[in-house]
Amino acid sequence: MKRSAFFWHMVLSSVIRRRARLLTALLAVGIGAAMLYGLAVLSYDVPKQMGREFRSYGANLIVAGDMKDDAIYLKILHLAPKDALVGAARMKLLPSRLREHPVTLTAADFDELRKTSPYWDVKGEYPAGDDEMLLGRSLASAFNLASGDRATLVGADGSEREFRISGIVQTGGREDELVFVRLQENSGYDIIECSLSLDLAGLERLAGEIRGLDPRLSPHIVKRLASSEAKVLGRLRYLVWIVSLVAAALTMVSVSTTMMASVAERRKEIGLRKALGASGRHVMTEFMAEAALLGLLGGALGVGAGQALAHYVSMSVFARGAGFQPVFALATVLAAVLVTIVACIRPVRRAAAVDPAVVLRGE
Amino acid sequence: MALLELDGVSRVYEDLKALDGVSIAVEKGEWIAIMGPSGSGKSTLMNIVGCMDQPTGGRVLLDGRDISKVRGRELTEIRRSRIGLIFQQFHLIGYLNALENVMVAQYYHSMTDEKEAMAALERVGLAKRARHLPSQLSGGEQQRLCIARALINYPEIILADEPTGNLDGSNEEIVMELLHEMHRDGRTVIVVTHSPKVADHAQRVIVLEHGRLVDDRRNTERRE
Ligand SMILES: Nc1ncnc2c1ncn2[C@@H]1O[C@H](COP(=O)(O)OP(=O)(O)OP(=O)(O)O)[C@@H](O)[C@H]1O
Ligand SMILES: [Mg+2]
Repeated sequence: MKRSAFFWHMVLSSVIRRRARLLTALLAVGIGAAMLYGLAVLSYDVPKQMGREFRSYGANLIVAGDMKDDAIYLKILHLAPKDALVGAARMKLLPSRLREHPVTLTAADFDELRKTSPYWDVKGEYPAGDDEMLLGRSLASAFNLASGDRATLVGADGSEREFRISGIVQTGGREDELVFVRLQENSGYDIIECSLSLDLAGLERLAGEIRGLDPRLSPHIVKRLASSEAKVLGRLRYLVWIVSLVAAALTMVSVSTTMMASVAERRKEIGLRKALGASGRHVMTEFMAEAALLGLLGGALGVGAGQALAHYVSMSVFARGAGFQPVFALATVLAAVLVTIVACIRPVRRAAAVDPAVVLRGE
Repeated sequence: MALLELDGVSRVYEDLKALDGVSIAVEKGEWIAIMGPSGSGKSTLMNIVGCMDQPTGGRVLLDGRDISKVRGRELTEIRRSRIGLIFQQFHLIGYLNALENVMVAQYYHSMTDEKEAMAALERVGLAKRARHLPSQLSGGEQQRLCIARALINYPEIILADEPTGNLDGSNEEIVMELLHEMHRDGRTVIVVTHSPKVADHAQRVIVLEHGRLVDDRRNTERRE
């Protein structure tokens, strides 16, 4: 066995054969690393999940203007970052009358609308054909209409069209007062409601670009949503930092205490090593290697536990699993090694200072 | 010139004089027994000779060189290269097996050499127990292991503090025989003991009392 191999053999034997003694320290490192890794994964995943969650609160960029064909729509689709675009629903507003009562008939692209506004509560079905309509709940109760009934709408030009009511929509918002039908191809439209996973700055950049397409377009950012998203995510990141620091500090205290006890317990052994010719540096190197090994082991265990934790939390909050993040895993193991080594500096100094004469003192 | 010369050596702990002006000259290849009542300073003396402690007064000359003022790394180097230690409490490393315990001494001295460590175990009759942990060895076997470890780096000076203090009669004889072998190899042997029987193996007997040298005599009826 080479000298360096013997060194590692000694360190490994100490860790393996004294594992019961090291369990506390290992547990401390493991728990710290689990918190660190779990939180890192969550803080990486949560904004994405939260973004999706927030996106279910409706469109956050509304482009209004007189758009005759799909040219502008296609350009907007092209401008929006690909993976950020949740949906873009075109709409055309047509003043109409229902039983002599003025109503706004909204021709909408239902496939996209379901993406931008998944929170809509529809009793019945979305219109499948051009002769079907979705009726706002307030109107339905005012006129005593229900799914399956028929109703006639009178257009601004006096033309009459009969529709079957496929469903009743309830949102608690202005949609309750509207009537929805399918948007005809090439009929033009005046609103595009976009839902984008972008922060405020990203939305503003996109709005500027859209304005640049055609000065008559007026893109409007739903600020209330965008800024509350930013606030929640900002707080979340802050929380992650605080908890990580606390976890690291607790790990350090606990590892330091365990190692202090270990040094006290091994005074005789350290004294013997010194009596056999070990220098303070030898003793330090051995203890540091042991600390590094402890950090490595605890870190690896912690990553495993942290992954399980993050997955569980993500599952129960967002009903989506959290993926393994190899970069975070590596960083966590490195951090665990580092924290353990730092925590061991004081105990190791003490170990190096043990007097070899202890071995001849009858204790 | 003597191998080792103590010249008025004192060691004071706070207000307690553990050693008080002790002067001894040890020739190369000598076998000395150090005796005296408990607390008389025998272990303190061994610590100083073994370069694990420094005197508060007087000089210690090793090959004519004063080592009483040498500290730290240099002192460690002298201990590592010239001294072999045997203890009453064995002081084996619990999580290393017999062979590894011998190799630890090699490790701090220079290179690890498993064959040589094995040969040392064979010499003390422990070849078959090389892979056992100290806790799986009897007291006598543990002390033989301790001797194998002290032997491994061919030290000039063997210091043994009560090497048979924890052993029964037959194990004591085995250990004494091993010390004789080392002595025949030309090593200088210094043994602290309470037992006149053990002291009888030495060529010279030194007696301490209250940290002072009270007797230093040739042993005329030496047991070989
Ligand atoms: N580190 C120390 N601090 C204070 N006093 C000490 C220390 N080491 C030894 N002494 C004292 O010095 C005196 C001599 O101790 P020493 O260990 O040399 O005795 P000894 O002759 O080896 O005794 P024993 O036969 O019991 O082993 C004792 O009174 C002891 O209490
Ligand atoms: Mg003693």
